[in-house]
Amino acid sequence: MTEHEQWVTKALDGIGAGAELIGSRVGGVAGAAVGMTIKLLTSAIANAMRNQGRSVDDILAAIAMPKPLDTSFQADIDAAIAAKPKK
Amino acid sequence: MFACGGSNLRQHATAADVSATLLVDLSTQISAAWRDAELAALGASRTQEDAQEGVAEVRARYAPLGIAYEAVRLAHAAYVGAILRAHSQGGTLGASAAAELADKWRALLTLASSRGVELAAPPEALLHLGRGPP
Repeated sequence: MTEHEQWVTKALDGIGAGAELIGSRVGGVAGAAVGMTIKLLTSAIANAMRNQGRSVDDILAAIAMPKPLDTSFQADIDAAIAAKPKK
Repeated sequence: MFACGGSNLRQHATAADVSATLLVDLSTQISAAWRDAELAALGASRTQEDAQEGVAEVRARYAPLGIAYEAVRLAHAAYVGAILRAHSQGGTLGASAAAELADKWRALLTLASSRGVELAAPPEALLHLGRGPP
C-alpha cells in the first residue's frame, strides 16, 4: 500500500467512526439511515480502492455474500413466553 | 440485452462487492431491531397470553420487511451469479442475470408463502428468459 493509500484508508476509518457517532447521537431510524448512507459511501470508496488492479476473479472471490436474516433469537423469545404465568 | 466483458465485468464485480457490504450491515441492523422489538413486547407483557399476542404483532410487522430484505439479498446473489456466469462462460450479463433471477424469484416465492406473505408471481417474460434460448 502506498503512502497515499495509507492516508486515504486512515481518513476513511475516521469518516466511518464519525458516521457511527452521528448515527448514535441522532438515534432511531433517521440516525441509522444517516449512518448507513455515510458508511455506504466510505465502503464504496474503500472497496473501489481495494479493488484497484485486482482481477474479476479476485474481486468475486472476496465478496462476503449477505446471509438470510438471523431470527435465531426467536427460540429464546418463545421459551420466555412459555415461562410466563397464564391468565 | 447488453454485452459486458473485461473491464465492464470488473466494474460490475466491484459494484456487487460494495452492495454486499451494505446488505450485510443492513441485515445486522434489521435483525437487531427485530429482536429488540420482540424483547420489548415480551417485557411489556405480564401473562403468557399477552406476550404471545404482543410478540405475534411484532412478527407480523417485521415479516414483510424480512421478505423485502430476502428479495434484495436474492437479487444480489443473482447479480453475483450472473457476473460469475458471464465471466466464466463468456455470455452476456443480461442473459445470465435473467436466468439467475428467475431461479431466485422462485425461491423467494416459496419463502414468502411459508411466512404468510403473498407476493405476485414473476412475469412470464422473466421466466421465459430464465429458460434460456431454445
